[in-house]
Amino acid sequence: MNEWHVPELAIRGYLGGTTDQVESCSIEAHLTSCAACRESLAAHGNAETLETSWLAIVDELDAPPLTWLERVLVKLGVSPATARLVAATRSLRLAWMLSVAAAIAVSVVSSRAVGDDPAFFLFAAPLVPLLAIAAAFGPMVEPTYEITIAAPFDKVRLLALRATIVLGSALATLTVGAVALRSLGPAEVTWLLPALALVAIGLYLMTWMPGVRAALITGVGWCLVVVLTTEHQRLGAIADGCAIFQPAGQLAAALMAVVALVVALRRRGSFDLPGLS
Amino acid sequence: MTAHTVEVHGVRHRFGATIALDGIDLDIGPGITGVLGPNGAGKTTLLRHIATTLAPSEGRLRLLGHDPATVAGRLHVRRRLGYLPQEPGYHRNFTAFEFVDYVAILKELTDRRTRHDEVRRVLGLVGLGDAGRKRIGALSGGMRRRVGIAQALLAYPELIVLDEPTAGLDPEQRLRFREVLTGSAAVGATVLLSTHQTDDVAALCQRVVVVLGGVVRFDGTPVDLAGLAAGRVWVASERDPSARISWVTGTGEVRHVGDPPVGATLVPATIEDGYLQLTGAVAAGQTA
Repeated sequence: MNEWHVPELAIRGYLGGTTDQVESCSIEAHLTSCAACRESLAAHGNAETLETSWLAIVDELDAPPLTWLERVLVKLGVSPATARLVAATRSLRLAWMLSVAAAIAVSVVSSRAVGDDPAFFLFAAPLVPLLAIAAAFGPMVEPTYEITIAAPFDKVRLLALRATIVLGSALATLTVGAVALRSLGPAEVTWLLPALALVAIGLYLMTWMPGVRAALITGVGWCLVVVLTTEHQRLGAIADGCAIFQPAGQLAAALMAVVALVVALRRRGSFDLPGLS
Repeated sequence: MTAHTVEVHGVRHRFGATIALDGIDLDIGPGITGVLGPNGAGKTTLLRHIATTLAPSEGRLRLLGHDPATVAGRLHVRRRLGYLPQEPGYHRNFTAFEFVDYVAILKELTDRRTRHDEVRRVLGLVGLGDAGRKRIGALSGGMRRRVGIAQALLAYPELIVLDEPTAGLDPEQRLRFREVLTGSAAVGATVLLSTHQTDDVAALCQRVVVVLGGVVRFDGTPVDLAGLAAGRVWVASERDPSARISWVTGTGEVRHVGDPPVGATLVPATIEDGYLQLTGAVAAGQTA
């Protein structure tokens, strides 16, 4: 039986907000198991405020803990709801592993298969990994596919969120692989950068418009970049291969990805608005 | 202004060469409507159309006053829809709370506290208030089904589509489920449930639709469905081969549905008798 109770002074301090974090946590933990102290607390304060506070405590204790990824994303400014959706991507283990593996495979195969005429691979660079990710989260693999489809959340937006975490994971894996294995090099790693850049730009655009429109704009934009770049190469402006395969092109893609993600984060309030779906 | 929340007109659906729905016409308003039919009759296909996860090959639907064939219409419907698929699938490494919370985010409940309160409410409704922290992989089939029902009740949907919700539920859970559904219907929701449990339909539904071979073969009240077998149900001590269907009851009597012989001891028909009479008549090519 619990004989200890929160001292009167500590209760007053807790209600007055003067107790430090450790003492507050200790009092809250005790309150969950001591009806006498809860009554004592109730006798001191406004019932409505106490009810609200109590429900908040219950929620903190009862709610599922944030994963490390959610904590990182929330610290970066992502809303808790979006962070949970992104983090859940990793919890959908089979789909997540398949999509990361597919993105890595596409990157490695494409970087080695590209020849003198890279136009096809350029068009495919960001699109094939995204298609692979979409397929991995399709009805054959994703168990809640039917429920997800019937929900109002914008599916293109969900795909973009999942693609961001999948491409980030694939990039990290390839980077470690390139450091550890001689058979992998920068080309395999950087092949995914255009896809990441497009997804990041898409996410930014989705803070302004519905997902389908944002995807169309980024897709058409990418096609224009490819046409202009290959035309530039054909005219002999670039002596050694296509600009997008050059370090400057890859650096530009990486910078675009980072900038787009940062500005998307700055507009995160708009991203979470249901009205944009 | 229409009183129907679900309008289905001339809907056909083909899966390759197979015709799953062959010209369905239905107008459904608030209250609980049961959809009965044997396996492969087209119930799930019909419900998937109403849940906006499948588009018809032909025909049109209007749900909650919106056209689900348009992007904007689908969005309006999905914001007011609760849906339990026949085989919902779960992320087994999620806890029950995490799973329902995940679906709640997909339903645009973005405020964390509000969402968590709502998750607790629906888990409480299905009797899983204390099981929220259990991994779904560790839950029994019936409990998983209840998690599925809970996510369908999130945010007080005006249109609730449940495909075989009571499969795997024990009798106590089924009674609780009936209580929850009648509560939703009482506040004006339109509930459609597909089931093989005729007693659920008899206990819950104001209206019952029987789908056979992709066509609506009956549309009326449960009493009307039972009425199809009125005067055609009898009991005897021996099995009568002329009956359409017969079975030995728990009391040892043989219950028959069909055309009774002269002098048979007729008994009141149940909804199950009516359903058997209807399906048997259709199978035999007769008009019920």
